Amino acid sequence: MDDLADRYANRGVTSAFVYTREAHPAEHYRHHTTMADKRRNARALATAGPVRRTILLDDLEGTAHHAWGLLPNMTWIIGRAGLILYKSMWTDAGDVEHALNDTLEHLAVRGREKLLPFYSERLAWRHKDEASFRAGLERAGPQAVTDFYGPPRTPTK
Amino acid sequence: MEHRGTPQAQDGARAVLGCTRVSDYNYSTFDLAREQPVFAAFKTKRYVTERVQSNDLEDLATGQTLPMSDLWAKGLAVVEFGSLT
Repeated sequence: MDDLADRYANRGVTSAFVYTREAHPAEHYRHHTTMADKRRNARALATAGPVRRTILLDDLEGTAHHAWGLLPNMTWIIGRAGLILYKSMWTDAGDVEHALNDTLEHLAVRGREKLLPFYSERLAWRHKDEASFRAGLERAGPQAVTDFYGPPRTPTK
Repeated sequence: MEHRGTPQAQDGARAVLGCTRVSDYNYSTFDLAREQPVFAAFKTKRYVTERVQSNDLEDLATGQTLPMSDLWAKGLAVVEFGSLT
């Protein structure tokens, strides 16, 4: 997503990452009880390198997160005046870029080519990357792995 | 793997409507069953073509508060929500 942000910045596209609650809190990155907790984990995200974009912190109550859908990793494309152009329950850079490019291309010629927008819905697809997902849980701590996959199986005789 | 039937899962409907306490929102233990109704509700929450709400957020780098509407004031905005974990 950061690469996408870099590529489209000179086309008038602003990209930002809104920091929410911890989706998988665990030993290394606990749930937030103060804004200081939230800032510390957000700085870790910026320092670790996964996110180079502007990071904006929601409040401790998750006011924006609630208003926008409460999902752990959703992405939205918003047009001028706040019009929702795209919403996705998961962030997939390829899907976002497809939507973004399509929007920019049509906006650029809509007057000349007399284009009219219309509403549509579709099912998108993404690669399942179990290894990366599990690595993310392990980074958070053993509790995160157990919370998601269940307790480790004990060897049976 | 069994995530259903936990106390957190029973709060699923409330999660859809919105958490009422900071500790509810910032849960200390992930529960997949609690998330499922939130995913289901996303499809009917805020449609494309609607106008989105602008909330005030804190810029991590500067500490300043800014309205989200600043993001789309001059053009398109790509807004990703997430966390370290």
